Amino acid sequence: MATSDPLEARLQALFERPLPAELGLRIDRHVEATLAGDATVEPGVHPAVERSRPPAGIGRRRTVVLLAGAALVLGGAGAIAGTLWHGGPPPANPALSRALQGFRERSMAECLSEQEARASIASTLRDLGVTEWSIRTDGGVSYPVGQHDAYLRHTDRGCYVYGGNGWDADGRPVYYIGGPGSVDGPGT
Amino acid sequence: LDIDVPLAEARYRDHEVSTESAEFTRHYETYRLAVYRYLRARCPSDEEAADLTAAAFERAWTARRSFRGTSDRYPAWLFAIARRQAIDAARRRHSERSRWRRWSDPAQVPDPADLALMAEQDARLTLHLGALPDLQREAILLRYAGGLTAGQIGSVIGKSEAATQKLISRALVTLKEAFDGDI
Repeated sequence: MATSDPLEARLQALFERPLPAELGLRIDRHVEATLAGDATVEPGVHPAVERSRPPAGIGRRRTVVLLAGAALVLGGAGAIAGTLWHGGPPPANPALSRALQGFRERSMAECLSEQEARASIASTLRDLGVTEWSIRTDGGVSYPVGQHDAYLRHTDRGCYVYGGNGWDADGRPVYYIGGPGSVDGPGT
Repeated sequence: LDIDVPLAEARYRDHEVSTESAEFTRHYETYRLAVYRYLRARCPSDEEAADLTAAAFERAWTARRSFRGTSDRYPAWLFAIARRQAIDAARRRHSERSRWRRWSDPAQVPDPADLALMAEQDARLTLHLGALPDLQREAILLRYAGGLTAGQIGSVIGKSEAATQKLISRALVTLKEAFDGDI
């Protein structure tokens, strides 16, 4: 909404407040939880549902919906016929979860370049037998509670921090690292 | 778990929720900052504005099937929800009117700490905004903090587009007179 009127320009400037990064993340998480908790089947969650079907004996002809953190199997007329999981999909590999948590802490404590961060994750994944993954810098970021400013200083120095994991559209695991510019700082 | 769901029904159900979710996500990404700025202009803190923004989008998601109209009408519908959130929050803390009154009442000296944070003209502008009639100020906030058009603002506050344009024009004239050409 560009304007040449000085008063209107001043009004726009008065209200052009940046959304602090930590508050933006808080809103994002709330909205994500709202979507996930209201019988939604999110694209990023589909692969988790599909992977969970065979071990649970749930065929592809059955509808699975996500509601309040549970994956529910629907029967006739929308009635709930069973629970696929509750409280999130079962971890595919507990050793991998521990390794990634360790890498998250290490990447905050040390300054890893993008190349070093990628190599470290790749090595961990190979050691644990994970195949067909990708590492990206355009996804989630994370940092310990109360360390938002420390995270910004760390990444502004060119250091990369493990941000979390998800799935791509084909159901392959994606691992995210965040570096410079991955989170807008206050006033930017 | 031996009750079959017809495949066509299952596909339809998945398609329906995925489409709604994708459309909502697009709206969320488009309007998140504008809704926050509008609510921030009405709230005493960044934190409260963020919480109300989250609550507004939650409400928009749960009430999504009550929205009737084309996508160009969505902003007005969304900001009407955000405005209701702000009004309810103000009612809970009984402070919004007093906040604006404090700014506008000559007998009330604004907090020097508040003023020190602003450029002089911003401080004066805030004082004069506080002196505007409530509906004019609301239209100004929706216009310049929320980025809505006059027609969209009219839908939010229950006025015609022409009446809303008059409200905004009157408010701008009042503010210009208050600055006496010094802006």
